[in-house]
Amino acid sequence: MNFSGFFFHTAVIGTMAVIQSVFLANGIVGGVTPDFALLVLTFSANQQGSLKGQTAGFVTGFVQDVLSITPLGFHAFSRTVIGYLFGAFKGKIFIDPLLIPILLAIVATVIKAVLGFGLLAIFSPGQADVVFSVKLAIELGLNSVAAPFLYGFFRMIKFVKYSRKEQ
Amino acid sequence: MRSFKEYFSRHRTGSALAGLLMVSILFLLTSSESASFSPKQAGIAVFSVVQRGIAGVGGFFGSLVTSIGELNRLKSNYESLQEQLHSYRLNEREIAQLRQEISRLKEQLQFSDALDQKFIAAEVIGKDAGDFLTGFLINKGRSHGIARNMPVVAYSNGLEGLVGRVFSVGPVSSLILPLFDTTCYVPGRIMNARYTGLINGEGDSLGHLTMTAVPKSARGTLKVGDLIVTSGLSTVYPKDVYVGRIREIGAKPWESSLVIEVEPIVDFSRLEYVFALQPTD
Repeated sequence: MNFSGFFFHTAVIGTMAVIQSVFLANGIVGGVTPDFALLVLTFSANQQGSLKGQTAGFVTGFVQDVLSITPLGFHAFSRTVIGYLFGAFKGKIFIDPLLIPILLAIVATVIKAVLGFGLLAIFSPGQADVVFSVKLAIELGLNSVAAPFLYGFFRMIKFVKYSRKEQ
Repeated sequence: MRSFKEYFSRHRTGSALAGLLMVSILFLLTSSESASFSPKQAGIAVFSVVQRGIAGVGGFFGSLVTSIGELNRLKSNYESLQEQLHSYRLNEREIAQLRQEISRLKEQLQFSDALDQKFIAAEVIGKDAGDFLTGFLINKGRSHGIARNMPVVAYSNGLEGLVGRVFSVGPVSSLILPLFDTTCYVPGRIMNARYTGLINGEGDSLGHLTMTAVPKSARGTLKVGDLIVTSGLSTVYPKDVYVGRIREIGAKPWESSLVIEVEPIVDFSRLEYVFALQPTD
C-alpha cells in the first residue's frame, strides 16, 4: 500500500474541503459552491482504487461534517460510498479531457444527493426535502464546469504519480 | 477465528467499507447536542483551529495582494495627480502673467486716453545689439506711421514720462534713442522754479541723467524731488512732458551753473509699452 499517495491525496481532499469552507463560503452562483473536495475524491479514488478511495472519502467526509452543520457522519458516509464506487472503476474507464470528467462529476453529485436525501430522511426527516432543489441543479452545473479543469490540472501536475505502483 | 481472518483478508475492501459505513452511522446515531461528550464538538474544536489558521493565512495573503494592488493604484494616482499639479502650476503661472499683462495694458490704456496728442502705441521688442548705443527696438515702423525724431513717452508711476526719441525707422520696427544715452540731449525746465537747463544721459542702464546749464542763483529755490519737464525749446520734444525728479543738486566752484542729478520718471528697466507722439499740425 502506498501510504504516501494515500495520505497525500487525503490531505489534498481535506484541504480542499477546508478551503471550500473558508474562501468560498458565500458561494459562487446563487450561494452555491462547486464541491471541489468531491471532485478531487472522484479523481483520487479512480486512480487509487476502492480501499484508498473509500478511506480518503471517510476521512475527508468526517472533516466536512465537522465543518458543516450536518450531523457527524453525514458526509463521512456518502463520501465513503462515493470513494468506494469510483475506486471500483479504477483502470476500467479512460478519462478524456472533457466528457468523462463531466460525467463523473454529475454521477458523483447525484450519488451525493441521493445518499444525502436517504440519510436525512432517516435521521432528520424534516430536512430531507432541501436536498432536491434548485441548488442541486446549480451545483451539478458548477461541478460539471469545474471537473474538466480540475482533472486537467491534476494530470498536468502528475497528481497520480503516487499511486502508479498499485496499478 | 481463522476463517474470519481469511474472510477479511479476501474481502478487505468490502470489510473496510462496511466498517467505515458503520462508524459513520454510529456517528449519525450518537450525534446529539444533549450528549455530555459530542464527537462533533470535539471535531469542531480541533478543525476550527485549522480552519482559523487557514483563514488567517488566506486573509494575510489576500490583504497582501490587495495592498499591492492598492499601492499600485495609489502610485498611479499619485503620478497622475503630480502631472495635474504640474499642469495647474503652469496654468496658474500663465494666469498670473496674463493678469499682470492685463493690468499693465489697462494702465497704458488709461494713459493713452489721457493723452491729448495723437500717438502710435508700440511694444518694446528688443534691446540694441550694439555695445555703445543704449537704444531699444519697438514693434512699429514706417508702415505704422512712425517717423524719425518722433518723441516717445511712456506711462510710469502715474505720470507721462519722456522715454526718448525715434532714432531710426525701419519698415516694421524702429530704434529708440533713450534719455539716458550719452548722445541724447533734452531741453528741460524745473517745473516749480521755472529754470531751464539741458538734460543729458550718462549712458548707464540705470537711466541716470544730468541737468546742466541751470544758474547757480537758482540753488536756493530748488529742492530734491522737484519735477523736471520738457521746456518745449526744441523742435523734437513737446512742452511739459515729464522727464524726471531732482535727486541731487551740486555745483563746481569754478563753474557758473549747477550740476543737477535727475532721476527719470520712466523706469527703463521695466519698460514694455511706449507711445510715439505724432507731431501736431
